[in-house]
Amino acid sequence: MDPAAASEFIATTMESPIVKLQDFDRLVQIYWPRVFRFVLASVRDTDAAQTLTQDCFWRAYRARNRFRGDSSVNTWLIQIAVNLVRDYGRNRRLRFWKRTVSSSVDTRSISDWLPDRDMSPEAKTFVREQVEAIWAATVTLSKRQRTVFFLRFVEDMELLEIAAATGLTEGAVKVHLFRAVQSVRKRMRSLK
Amino acid sequence: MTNHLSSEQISRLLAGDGTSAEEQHAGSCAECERELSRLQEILLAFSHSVQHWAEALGSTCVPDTEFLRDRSSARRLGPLRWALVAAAVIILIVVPLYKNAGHRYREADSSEDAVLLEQVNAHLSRTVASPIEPFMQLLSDTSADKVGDR
Repeated sequence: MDPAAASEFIATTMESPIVKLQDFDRLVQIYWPRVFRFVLASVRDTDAAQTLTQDCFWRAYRARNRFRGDSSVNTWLIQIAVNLVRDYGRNRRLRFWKRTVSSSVDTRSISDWLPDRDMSPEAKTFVREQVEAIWAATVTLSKRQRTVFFLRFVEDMELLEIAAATGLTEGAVKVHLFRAVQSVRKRMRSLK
Repeated sequence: MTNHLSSEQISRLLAGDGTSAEEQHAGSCAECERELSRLQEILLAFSHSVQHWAEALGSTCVPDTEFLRDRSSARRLGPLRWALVAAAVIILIVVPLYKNAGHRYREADSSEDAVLLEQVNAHLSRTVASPIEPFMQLLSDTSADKVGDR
C-alpha cells in the first residue's frame, strides 16, 4: 500500500483531527510527551530533544491551516518529528563542537527505568540485560531502521501509521522493521 | 508445518510480516508461542523503560505554549528587521560613495575655474586685440631686423 493509501486508511480509523487543531494549546499538552519521547530516544540528548520538539510544534502551528486531516494529528506530528530528527542527524556532523557542551544522556542507564514488577531477582536481572542489549543494538541500526523500530515498539504505532509518518510504503516499513528486529535479536542472543 | 518456526520467521512475525501459515503455527505450537511471548514481553519492558526514562528527563514537563506566540511575533518582525538591516547596509555603502563623488565633482569644478581664470588673465594682459597680434609680431620682427642692419 502506498503512503497516500495509508494516510487514507488512518484518516478513516482515527479521531477527527480538525477539531483538535482548533485548540492548539490543548494539542501541545496532549502530544508533547509522545513527540518528546520519540525525539529523545532518537537523538539521546535532552537539550536537542527539547529544541526539536519545540520546533516540531512550531512547524505544526505554522502549518495548522494547511492540515487537511489526511492522517491523525499524532501521525502528522510524528511525521514532522521524523523529518526534524533526520535533519538533525545530517547537521550534527557540522556541529561537532557543540557535543562537548551538550547534555548527552547516559545511555547505559536505560534499564534503571524498568517498571517494578513481581519478578524474581534472576528474572529481573535477565530482563534488565535484555533491555540494555536492545538499547545498545538500536545505536547500530540504520536511521530508518531505528525510526521504524521506535515507532513500532516504543510508540506502539501500526504499520500503516508508520508508513504515513515516514513516507515509506507499508512493504518498506516491514522490511526495515524485520532487519531491525533481526539485529536486535542477534544482540540479545549474544548475551546468552 | 511440522518444524518449529525459524529465527527469521519469528522476527518476521514480530515485524508484522508473517504469513498466515506462520501465524497459525505460532498460535498452535506451545514452544514457538512461548518464544514469541518472551520476546514480546522483553520488547514491552523496553518500551516501558524508554517511557519512564523520557518522563524522568522531562517528557511530561510540557512548556507554556507562549513560545509559539513569541516565535510568531518574532517571525512577523523578521521581514521588517531584515528590511532595516538592508537599509542600514545601503546607507553605509551609498553615503561614502556620494561623499566621494561630491569631492571629485568639486575638484573638477575648481580645475575648470583655474583654467578659465588663466584664460581671463591672458586676455586682460594683452596690449592689442588677439586678431592684430600676428601683425604686431611681424612689426616687432621687422624693426628688430632694421636695428640689426644698422
